[in-house]
Amino acid sequence: MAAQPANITDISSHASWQSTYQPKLSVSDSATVIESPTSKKPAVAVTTPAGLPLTQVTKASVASSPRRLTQSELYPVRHAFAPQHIAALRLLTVAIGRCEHALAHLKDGQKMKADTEIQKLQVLLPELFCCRSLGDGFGTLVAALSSGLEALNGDTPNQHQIQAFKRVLTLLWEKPFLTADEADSHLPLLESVGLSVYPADLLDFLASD
Amino acid sequence: MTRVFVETTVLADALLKPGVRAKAAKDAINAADESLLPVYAIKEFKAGPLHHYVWFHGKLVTTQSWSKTLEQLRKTAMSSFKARWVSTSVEALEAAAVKNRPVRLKQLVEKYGADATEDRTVCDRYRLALRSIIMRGWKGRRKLTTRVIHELECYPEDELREDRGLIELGETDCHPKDECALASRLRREPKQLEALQNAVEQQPSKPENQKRLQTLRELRRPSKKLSSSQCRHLGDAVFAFFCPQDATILTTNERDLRPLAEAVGKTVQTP
Repeated sequence: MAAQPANITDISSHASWQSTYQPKLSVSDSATVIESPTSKKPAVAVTTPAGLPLTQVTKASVASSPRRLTQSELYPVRHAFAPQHIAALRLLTVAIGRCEHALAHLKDGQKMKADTEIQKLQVLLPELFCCRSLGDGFGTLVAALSSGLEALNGDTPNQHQIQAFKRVLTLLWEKPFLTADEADSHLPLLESVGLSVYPADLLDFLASD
Repeated sequence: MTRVFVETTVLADALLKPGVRAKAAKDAINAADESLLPVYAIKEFKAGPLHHYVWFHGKLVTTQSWSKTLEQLRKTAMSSFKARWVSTSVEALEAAAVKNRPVRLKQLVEKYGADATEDRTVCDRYRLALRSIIMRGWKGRRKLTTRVIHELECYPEDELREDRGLIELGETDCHPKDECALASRLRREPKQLEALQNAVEQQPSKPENQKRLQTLRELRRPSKKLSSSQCRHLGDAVFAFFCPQDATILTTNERDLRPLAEAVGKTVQTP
């Protein structure tokens, strides 16, 4: 069998790539650019040297250090930066951006544009729910967001509801490993703006006699 | 001043049935100037409806499958689910799962494996929702009314906990040292006991009424000690007996409770 023609150029050696490429946090099919909620903060190291004994990162040493904690110090090593964690952070970044754009469009009176952003948010949620191996708290809140949107039956959420979505998504971005009890304590945030946080089909079943 | 005495069915509606049923129950409770919740209602709530929810949740945890759990719902002879089998609810729930199936993308299954399948997704959504309803319901039990009254010394009211994904209810029965803590309070009003006995005798002779009648008879014999199971058999009679004279019993089980309440000069209201 003949070898494939070697027509692939190393992208790093391409002059125009080096001068123009900027990493994008938004999804490729998006018409809008969505930035990370922490994009204004300086980058921090996210890895711990493999040979470093865990006991070296003590509470005292962390407290006395003026530096910012890395994610690997904040989260258990085995769970942090698993594929689901990375996927979740990526999807959450996009989802938060969708909410921000929807709010901006609502403010401008562009309801249809706002609704389009919410549609794009809604279709992200099934994949976000696939990242629930991060914990039951994560799954609880993503499922609550899905139920909240489903119960609207296609209506555009109002400003307060979108703000609540954004707050929950930001919470998940900051604390993806939260416990189920912690997640429960945030459900009233969604309920207080008239969103149902449980699947309608299940509620119908439980309410039946 | 209006006062309501909250019975187990209304407690269960308010705490375990988010939506229309919970709203109706909470509105009825909040409409009164004072709402009273006897600990006996908490005891019945935990041993009855909450236990059934925990069972349902446990099936979702252990089967990790919505279709298998649904099959168990059909098979199981737990009384609270019995009516639901014959209703269209299970079918509606099954239809809902089927309705959502096309939404799942094949690519997600390839990327995330079994967690992305429809069966596992529905199972986990319901499992997480049930867990949340159960835990929040239990935590909220003593915050629902303006007062919790008639504490039971022999009832431990253990907190719920989780073990390996399953919810542990802890103790659901009383542990009386000598006899049920309610016994001496009940015996102080022999005329009310007699009136309740007469009312139960007039009710249909279903098993729960037979047990209630037997317990009321034995209560009137001072030599007999009231056991924890007999305390459970008293059920509706406890609410009719202990509801304050100036309060109304708030229940969804009006048919069974009204005759007992009226026999001792009390009133009944539904949400």
